[in-house]
Amino acid sequence: MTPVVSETFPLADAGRALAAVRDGTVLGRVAVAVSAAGGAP
Amino acid sequence: MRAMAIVGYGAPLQPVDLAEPPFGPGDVRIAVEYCGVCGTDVKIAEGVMPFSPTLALPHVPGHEIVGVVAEAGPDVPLAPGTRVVLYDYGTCGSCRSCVGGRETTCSRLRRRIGFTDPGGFQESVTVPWTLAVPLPDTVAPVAAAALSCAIGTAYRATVTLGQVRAGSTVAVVGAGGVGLHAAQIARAAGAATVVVEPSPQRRSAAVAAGARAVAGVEDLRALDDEIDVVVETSGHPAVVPGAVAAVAPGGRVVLVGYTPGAPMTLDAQDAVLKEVTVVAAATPRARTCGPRSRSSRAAR
Repeated sequence: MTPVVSETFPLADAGRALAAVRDGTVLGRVAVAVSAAGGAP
Repeated sequence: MRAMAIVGYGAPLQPVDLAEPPFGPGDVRIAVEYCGVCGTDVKIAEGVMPFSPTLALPHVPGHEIVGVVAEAGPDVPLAPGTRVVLYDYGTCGSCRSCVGGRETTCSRLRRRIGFTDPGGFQESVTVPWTLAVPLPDTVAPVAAAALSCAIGTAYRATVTLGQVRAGSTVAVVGAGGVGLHAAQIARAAGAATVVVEPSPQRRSAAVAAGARAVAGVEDLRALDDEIDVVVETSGHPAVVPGAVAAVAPGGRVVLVGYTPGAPMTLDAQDAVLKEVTVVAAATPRARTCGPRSRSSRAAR
């Protein structure tokens, strides 16, 4: 199977990630990218 | 450390600077790489969970955590640098639920990461090592952000409680974070799968994952298939009667989604005469997530 994590948001945009989940505008899961290794600025 | 926190229910998350929590000999400090975003995080931020009235704010949400062990206490068998996924339930290990292997209903829950305790929308999280499940190198960290909740819950609903087997026909209602994975798990178990989803984009994703797709639960009755199991992930109150109507006699309806303050109703006559089993799945058990966290062990 293929995990569906369709989009990542930087930590500072965690609120936008929540809103996207609330509004159903994203596909599958989204994730907050927190550390430098995770891709956040 | 940097964090994004709930400072008021229904208000946007705000950046906060938090002190590192106390660190014990059996603890690990996890440098968070990714934290998945669950529909329950939305409910927590809106203040509609049962624990919301007593939750201290600011609160850092996020329970789908993948990261790297940055610091390990002397009693911890995990080396710094180990990539892990966190199991968010800190259970007592001794109550009736825990002893009976249903620790997800632990009556003396010690912590719940992201729910009643600080979660993953921050740079690091300190937890007992028993909640950390090592992640194989073959799994991409970003993909693992869906593992502990979205995929684990989908597995519990589909395989453990739905009893989906090869040859089953499964309807998954809702193609969101749990639903899309439930459809894939059902297919991997050898079941024929149909997804019920009003969004054309999400239906397309379900079809790409190998399922058939229809727009509404009422459409299930137009199919030739006998539906053995319905996995309901949408939380829409109107779905349950249609799910009971669609499932075959002796079938199962597994409830995963819910909307606070919006009770679901079912046609008891339909359910009784068809001997439909209705069960509910909250979240995966520890043994589903990994070998280190067993239901018989208390996880502080």
